[in-house]
Amino acid sequence: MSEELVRERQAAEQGQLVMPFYLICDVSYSMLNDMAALNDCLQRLRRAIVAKPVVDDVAHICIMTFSDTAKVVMPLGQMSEHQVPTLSVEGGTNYGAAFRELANTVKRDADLLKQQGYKIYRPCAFFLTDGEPLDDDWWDTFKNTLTYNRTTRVGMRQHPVFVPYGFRDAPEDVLRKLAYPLERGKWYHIKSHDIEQALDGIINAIMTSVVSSGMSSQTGQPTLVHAQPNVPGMSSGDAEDFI
Amino acid sequence: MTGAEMTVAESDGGPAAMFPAIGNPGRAAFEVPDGPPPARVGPSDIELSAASLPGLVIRAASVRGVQHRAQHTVRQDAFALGQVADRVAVVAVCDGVGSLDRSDYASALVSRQLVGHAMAGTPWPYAFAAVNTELAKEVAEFEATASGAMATTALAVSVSFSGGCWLGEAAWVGDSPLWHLGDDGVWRPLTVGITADGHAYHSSGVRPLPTADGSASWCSFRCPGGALFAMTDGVSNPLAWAADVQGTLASWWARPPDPLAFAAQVGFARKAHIDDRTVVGIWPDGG
Repeated sequence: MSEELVRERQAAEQGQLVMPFYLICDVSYSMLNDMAALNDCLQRLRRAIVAKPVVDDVAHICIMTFSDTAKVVMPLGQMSEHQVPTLSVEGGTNYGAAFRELANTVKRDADLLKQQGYKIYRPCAFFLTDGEPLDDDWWDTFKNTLTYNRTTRVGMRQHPVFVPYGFRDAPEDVLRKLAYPLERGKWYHIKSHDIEQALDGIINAIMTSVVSSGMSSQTGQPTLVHAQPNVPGMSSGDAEDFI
Repeated sequence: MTGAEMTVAESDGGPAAMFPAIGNPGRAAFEVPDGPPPARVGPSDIELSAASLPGLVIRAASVRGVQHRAQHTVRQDAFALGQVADRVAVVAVCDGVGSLDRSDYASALVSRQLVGHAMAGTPWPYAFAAVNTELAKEVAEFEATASGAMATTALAVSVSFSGGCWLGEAAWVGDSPLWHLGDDGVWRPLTVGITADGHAYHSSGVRPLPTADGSASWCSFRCPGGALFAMTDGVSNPLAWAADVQGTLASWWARPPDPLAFAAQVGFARKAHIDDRTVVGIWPDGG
């Protein structure tokens, strides 16, 4: 895209449709030998989205990392307007820190976008992890931060669709509990020992999901589309009612 | 032109293109190529009509959206025009459900049949019930022959202009609304309850034809001066949500434009609004 050819305004546009995606990457110490592969995959994800202007116009991406703590490393925005940072390995595997930071970030982004006049689709959060949670209260934290009870109206009304992807030591029973909400959430578990292949499959699936969602045409407008990683040893399932 | 600009797009070695944009046009409007001709011979990217009745001027345009262009799929919006008596215009606009591959057939069928029923004197509630039955039959036949699936929204309007006032009836299924543009330049929806705001997030879900019972929402209206616009959500959403779109379209459509200019305006570029666009505008003659 050339600036001479496309004169885009950077200001917020009233009524612009935005489909937010959050990519939460496990950068715990066990990922030490896989960071190069993960960083390559993220660059490929960026190129795939930027190559599809229809998708780039509507899909806004945020990249977060977590280990002992969690943080936003690329704020929510159009991929073509951001560079993907190089991720580095850190410490342990604290799911709760990721859940809390994600909930705060989703809420903050949604409030800001709405204030600016955007129309937002419900966000989708892709959660990549290679390990089991080291925090004992991860499940309570998840329920308390990222779920909503429609009957009692308690919880996070702005919750994202949560799609966990686990590999290496990530336990399947944990991933099952994290797929949320019913009828929209999915979980994926890859047993392969080839971590580069697993990461490649996961990022391909996320890429397909983001592109297909951006391109989907239900009533001519985008909706969330799930894509399955094409990797040996992969199992998956729909969200179940654990809450 | 409030908030609008004519935007120039050029490609390396290719022809320059100029088309209207309101606000930020986004990347897709410039960068998505036209793509190949449709796989099924026939559907056009743009459909355009101009008509006049005693006291009325009509412009109608349906424009293929950028999303269908990107997917190499056909336009799924449609409109139809007719009249009852000398001075009563009948219009229908339909928005085919994009996730179903033959919704272009459904929208064309329903828009034409609704107008046909009205011209035969059938009141809107009965016309919708009859068309719903006919569409359900077609859906079953297509399904039986694995020829594709279809569904569509529909808005139908009959209206005359007399004594400085619009007098008419509208009926609809789904989210295609009727708007009144007043002489004061203010847009007011005449079909209430179509835009559902106030939820945590935007949803693109819609209730289309065929339905289980063929019932339709219905209203009669009387409003002074200005012009009326039946449209699909490709235009009504940005119109409902953005002041610059309201101001620009009010400026463009205060008077009936040249038909070709009207089609270009209906297809205005705006970032992330990439659905098909259909508008039927009705002005008082000389208005």
